Amino acid sequence: MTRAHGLHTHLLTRNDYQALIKMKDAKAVSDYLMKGDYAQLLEKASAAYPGALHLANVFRSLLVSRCYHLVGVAPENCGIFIEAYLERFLVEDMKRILRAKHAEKVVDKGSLIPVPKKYDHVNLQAMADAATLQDALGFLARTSFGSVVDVMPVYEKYRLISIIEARLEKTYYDSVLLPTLKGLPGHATIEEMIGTESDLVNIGMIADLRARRVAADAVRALTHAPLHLTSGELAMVSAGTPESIPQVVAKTRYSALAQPLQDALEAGKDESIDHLVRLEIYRGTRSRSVTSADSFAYVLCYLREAEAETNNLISMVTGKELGLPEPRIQAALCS
Amino acid sequence: MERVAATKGTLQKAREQLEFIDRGKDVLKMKRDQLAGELNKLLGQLGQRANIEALFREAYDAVGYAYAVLGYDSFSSAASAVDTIEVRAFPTSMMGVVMPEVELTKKTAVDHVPTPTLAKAVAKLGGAVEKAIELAVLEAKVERLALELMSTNRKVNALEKVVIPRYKAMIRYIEDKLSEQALQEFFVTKRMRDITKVARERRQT
Repeated sequence: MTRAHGLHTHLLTRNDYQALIKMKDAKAVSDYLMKGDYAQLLEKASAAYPGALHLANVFRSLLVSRCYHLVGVAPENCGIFIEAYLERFLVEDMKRILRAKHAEKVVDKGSLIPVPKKYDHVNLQAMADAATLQDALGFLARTSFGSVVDVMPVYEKYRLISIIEARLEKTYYDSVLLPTLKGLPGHATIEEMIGTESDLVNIGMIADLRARRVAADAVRALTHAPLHLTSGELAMVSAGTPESIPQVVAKTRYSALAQPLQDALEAGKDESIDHLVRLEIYRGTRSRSVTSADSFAYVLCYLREAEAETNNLISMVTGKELGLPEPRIQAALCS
Repeated sequence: MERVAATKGTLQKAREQLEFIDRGKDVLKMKRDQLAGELNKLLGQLGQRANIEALFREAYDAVGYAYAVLGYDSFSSAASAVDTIEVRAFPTSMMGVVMPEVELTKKTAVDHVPTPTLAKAVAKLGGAVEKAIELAVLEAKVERLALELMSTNRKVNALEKVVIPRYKAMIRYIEDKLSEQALQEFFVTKRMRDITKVARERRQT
């Protein structure tokens, strides 16, 4: 926890963001970052401006090294939890590989999050080299994600890669993350935070898949075990239509999410479900990092804030490189 | 006027040709009116170009925003699941004018996009591309029709202003020549008769 407090001081502050968003281009953003933790990696990258894609890789490398550093220094059960929490990087990489296999395209290995080999329990390289989607899923057989293959009949029916991605998320929360919560110091707060995240991801996934006309029972089967929502509430959300889901959500503890969710489900509006969920999780984390500064939950807050910082910087340099106006970049940030 | 044999046969043939050309001119005029009508109808639809440009600006903005939210590599990864649009192009004919027709056989499958942020951008971009295809077909049709209309108009004008007047002049020339020949023959015959009559009277006296 003390380490997390120390590391937290390395994160960008609100003032940094305000300064960064006003920068005239992506190179200026990159130059500004030469002062902090990013300096060493950016110097290695190139003397000239290397481009947003390369910068994104630099930001992700730092995120990975920041996060996995905590696994090494944390007490055993806390380390297990952090390691399990960070398997979300593996999930993201698996999603990218499976999307490419679904579309019968070559996996761009350079675009994967560089998870250290020691923590790569699923053999991402072999998955990426697999010939087909089935072959790639075959590599998960003896891992915690082995049950993902069970969703293949539903995937075959709808031919939506989102179904496999939802199943990966379910396995991540139900089988990887939740079992590590017990016995943690400040267990209740951690469970509250992870539970909220899991519920928000559930709601987002249900709304997204229902909008894609996936049957309610198939969607219900893809939801993770609810921690704060009751099973009844989750069943009601799953059974809803894209139009009625916001009204159902309004009757749960996530009532504040109802209106933004309705906006996100409207075709003409820019708001999207995945970004909305990300924003909600980050907002909850920011307030929690103040109230839980003396508990282990602070470590989780640090991990999430580090993740948000990486996403924000990627959004910032990409937006600047594309010449997007400040308000558009601001809207893309988790802040 | 080129030299023509001023015979009754030539006159008959020229009159028949003039009648045929006149009928052809009427047919071409009808074709011209029909083409102009079709062109007018299509020109009305060309106004949608401004809307399509607005759609593309909106789509560009949405794609830029999706790039900013996701970053280049997440964007590319999610975009790899988007199926490409497929079209079938075939020719159609209107009043003998070959015009292109494009049928969208596979639309953008927004449902297949795994990331909702990108799905929204894809929906906008796909919609704009589909409209752009429609507009391209429309513009190609207008271009072909306009070219054919110009060509038909030139033909009608050439017939009205050059060919038909020339035939009419030729017919007039032949008619004049024939009546001149008839008058000449009549005069010669009359002179011959007078000479014969005078000769006969001299023999009798």
